Amino acid sequence: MYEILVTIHIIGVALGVGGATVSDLLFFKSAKDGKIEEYEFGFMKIASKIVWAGFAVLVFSGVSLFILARLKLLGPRVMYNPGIWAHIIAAAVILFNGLAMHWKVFPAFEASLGIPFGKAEQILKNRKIIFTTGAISITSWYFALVLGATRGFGLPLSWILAAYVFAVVCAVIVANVIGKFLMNKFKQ
Amino acid sequence: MGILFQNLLIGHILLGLTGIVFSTLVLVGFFKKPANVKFLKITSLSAFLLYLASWVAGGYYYVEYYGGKVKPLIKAGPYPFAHGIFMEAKEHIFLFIPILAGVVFLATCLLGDKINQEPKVKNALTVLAFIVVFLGVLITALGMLISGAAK
Repeated sequence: MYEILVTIHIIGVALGVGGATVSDLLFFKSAKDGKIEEYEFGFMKIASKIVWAGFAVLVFSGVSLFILARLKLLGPRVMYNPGIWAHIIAAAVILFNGLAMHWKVFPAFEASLGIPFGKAEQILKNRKIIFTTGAISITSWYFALVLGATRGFGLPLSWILAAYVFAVVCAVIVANVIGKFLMNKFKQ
Repeated sequence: MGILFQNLLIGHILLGLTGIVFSTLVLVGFFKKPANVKFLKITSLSAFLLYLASWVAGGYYYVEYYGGKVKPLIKAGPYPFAHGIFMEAKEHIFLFIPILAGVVFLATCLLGDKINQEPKVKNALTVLAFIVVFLGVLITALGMLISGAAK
């Protein structure tokens, strides 16, 4: 049962991390010409659905692994592992960040199809949210992936979370700098 | 742990988790312009029923097994606050979830297409749906902390 659940969990990783990566790449590819076309938005929606499907697979298989550990009464030594809890916190961030994307980012894209960025009111208005949520998403997915593979290197939870926050902050800054450059480029 | 209580525990967790999935679908459904009212009715009812089922499974397990077998293990272990704080908090916070999920379902049924015509109503229901998701995630984390303390 453990091996089956781990295999399913890995499938979820492939869908989630792969989908998030493709989604970000699709955005930057479509941003090259300064506007998002309808077919490009269609691809982003498909990638988004793959990410959500992957996330659901990950959550159910991950919780099932937790249930297995509970039924075996493995106790706090295993179930309070800092790497696992940092993993769970990253998953919660991915969920709420994903909800923020559906609340603000996708509607902004949908309202701006075919409109150059320099004139797309919704994209200009939500520029910071767009690039911030994108940065949080990709950083969180890869952070969770590394945690899953390494179990947090045996470090305390506070250190792992500090590294996570640092990575997210750096990613958000870089993404917003790129975003400002892109918007300025297409405003001219 | 006998097969019955194993299945009740597994059922409690997976039913609750599936309820959170449907509540997330409800929340994302409210983001759409216009919102698909039929979709919202189905997903909000599903979430409500799943939370009720999770409540029943967890309640029976809690009364008939947890109190006598698991609670003493936790209280004797290195993290007794897992029961003293986390379980006590969970017992009270979880009550909000099926009630709020039921309110979202009832409001969606009674209002119907008015949801799309009155932004303030839609926003209020969106906030309510978000609270359900947030509490669901919180309750899941508390449950994992409680389970983790049992050895």
